[in-house]
Amino acid sequence: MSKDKLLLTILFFFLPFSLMLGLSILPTVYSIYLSFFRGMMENFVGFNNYLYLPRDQRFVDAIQVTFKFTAITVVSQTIIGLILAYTLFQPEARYKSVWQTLFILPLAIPPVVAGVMFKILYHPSFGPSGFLSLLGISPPLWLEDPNLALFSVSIINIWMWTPFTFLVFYTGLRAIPSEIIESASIDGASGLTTFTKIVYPHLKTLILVIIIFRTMENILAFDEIMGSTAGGPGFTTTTIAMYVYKIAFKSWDLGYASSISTVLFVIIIAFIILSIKLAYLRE
Amino acid sequence: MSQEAKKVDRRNFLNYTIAVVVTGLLVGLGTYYLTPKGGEKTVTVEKTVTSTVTVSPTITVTSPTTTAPQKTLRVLGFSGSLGDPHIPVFDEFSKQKNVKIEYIRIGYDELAEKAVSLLQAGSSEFDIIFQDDPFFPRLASKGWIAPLDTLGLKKDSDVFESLWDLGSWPTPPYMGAVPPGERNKEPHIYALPHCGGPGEFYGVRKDLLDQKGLSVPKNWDEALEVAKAFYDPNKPFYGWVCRGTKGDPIAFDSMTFLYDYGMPYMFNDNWEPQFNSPEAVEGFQMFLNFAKYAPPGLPTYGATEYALEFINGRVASGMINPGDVVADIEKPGSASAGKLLWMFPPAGPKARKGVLGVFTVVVNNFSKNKDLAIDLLNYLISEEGQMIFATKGKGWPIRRSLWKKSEINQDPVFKPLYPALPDFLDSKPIPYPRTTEWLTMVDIYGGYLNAALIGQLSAKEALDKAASEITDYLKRIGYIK
Repeated sequence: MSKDKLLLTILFFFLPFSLMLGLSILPTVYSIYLSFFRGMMENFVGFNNYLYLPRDQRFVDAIQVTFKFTAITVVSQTIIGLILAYTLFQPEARYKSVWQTLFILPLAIPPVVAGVMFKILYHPSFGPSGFLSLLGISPPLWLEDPNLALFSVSIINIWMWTPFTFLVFYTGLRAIPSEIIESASIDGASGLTTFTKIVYPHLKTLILVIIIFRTMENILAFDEIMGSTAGGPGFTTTTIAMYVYKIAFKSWDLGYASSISTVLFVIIIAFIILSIKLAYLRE
Repeated sequence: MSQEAKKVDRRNFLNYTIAVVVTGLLVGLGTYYLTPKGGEKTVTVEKTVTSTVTVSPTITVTSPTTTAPQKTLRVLGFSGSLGDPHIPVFDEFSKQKNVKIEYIRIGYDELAEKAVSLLQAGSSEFDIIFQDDPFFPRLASKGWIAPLDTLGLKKDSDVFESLWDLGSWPTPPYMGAVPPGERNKEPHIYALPHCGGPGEFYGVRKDLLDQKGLSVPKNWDEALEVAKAFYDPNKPFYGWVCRGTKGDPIAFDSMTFLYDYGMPYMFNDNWEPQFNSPEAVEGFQMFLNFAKYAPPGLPTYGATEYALEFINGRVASGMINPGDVVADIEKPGSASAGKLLWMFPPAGPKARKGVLGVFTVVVNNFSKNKDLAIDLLNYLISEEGQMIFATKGKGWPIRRSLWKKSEINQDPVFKPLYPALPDFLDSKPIPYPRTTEWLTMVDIYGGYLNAALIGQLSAKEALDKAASEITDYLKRIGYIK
């Protein structure tokens, strides 16, 4: 190989690496670097931002809210998506394309619009539940009641993203060879047995992928919460992504926001490694 | 193509059509809600962060029609009704000075973020930038915005003194504590407060008071009786409304109560919180008493919901910044148009204070057209400029003398605010604490107030917790040693 060709080959292989470096690794490293400063790189504070985190009640609350929100939404999206896909997969199911279209409709709505739309729907005076007051029944305060608010914003996220899990599971189900299911049916296997012995093993990897993807996404949920509750009432729906946004772009403390982002990054990475390890351990 | 394939195509076509129509309806519903006035898709009319939507900027270019303009001024302003009154003024200035003005207008939250990003980078992309009054102390302390008085802005005595004070940095002592490190700086005018706002007003349906034979309340106890008298959730009709959303909305709309019940300032000169003093707690408790007569969704109410309650004729009284809603409430078709008495808030047991909050314009210190920018601001505050601003743009004038003219005080937009607005500005109202860190503090403070509004905490618990957290924060950033 000539020297020029060797150089070209090296460059060719170096290009994707440098792209990855430029687009992914460098911003992460820079964010970690920023986390050692206060404000907009005004003062070097060492590890002080990290040391302040456990004392920051807003951060502690936001972590708790984020974990609750993620747990509710990921579990619901996975189960509902699977149920919808399995139901539609049944040979007896009619109007499959109509249902399919209806199920994926929420994916076309921008999250912030969904947030505002639900804010109207949930509104005790202007929303549909306002009709209850005409019947003399007090409408539920979906977004105002601190015990209901997190559940209500979770519904928005579940409504928006269950179509995605449905699509993935439905595609996975259609990849199962029909002969296997037909044989099980001829052998007298019940629906539950078919699901646990045939469907579930085929979909196990997809379920893991969905859980990892949805967890990563929902930990960072922002738009629909901002559009509906802006983190309220009180701090009951302030997630970690909202808190980072406020610290970074309202208080302009990029250093502290970066330290929170770094902790969040470590949590997500740890979760992914743990999920994959758990899945392989079972294998 | 087979017959079966054609059939499937038709079905799919029908499905897609339904999907597009339903999606369009849903998106339309959302965007309709986000378009409270005019044709612009924005919800940024209020002073706060209740909901943020990214929309395309509105660009208005005004150029003289005769000769080719020699210079271009770029202005970054607010979308919606907050930025509308400036258009005829810019147009006239453009003609008189042979200047092209590019007026780029974006939403409230985007504007706050973009201004800091641009100024921090030393960008000269915009010469004049609009900002809410709590934001500019940070810009001034960094040296990112120009001292307008040293550049030639004429401090006209006809303009309300409280507005000049609000635009100064550091602010005069009567407006409260100044942050350490800023106290010894020479005061200059850095911002020109002149639109939105100007502060907290009490609004009551005069026609309903007359029907029940009630008089206009002079103090908060009487105002509470008015709210109680009209409260009938079965109709539904409510006695009271204000903004209850966490953060700035509830913080601003409840602040008058704290002052009126005896809180001297939110912070003392050492930046120790005073808003959890017994007097302040009593004041906030009174605010919570009013909330009992409000619509059930109050904890998520912003300016839009507030305005809707009056427009739909479902409420008797309320507290708000008129600049955010008066144009909507007083327009034809509104059930409350011409019926509301907008007034200086009633008195508390210890005081009758006004709370000031006005949108401002600042001049970029990195601008290459600072002289021209000052010329434009001088024109904006001149008698001619203010007359155009008020009569053509429908923005309230900042010159005291204009309020005495019948073209202004008999105009349907300004008539309900006269004489309350000039009286309010002459009363030395107090603004939000003057600090570079208010946005962090108001998030904590307003979050706890909202928690009290929903019944999670008592008034005292909420204010104590807010004080404790804000003290921690102020220690961390060096305000409290």
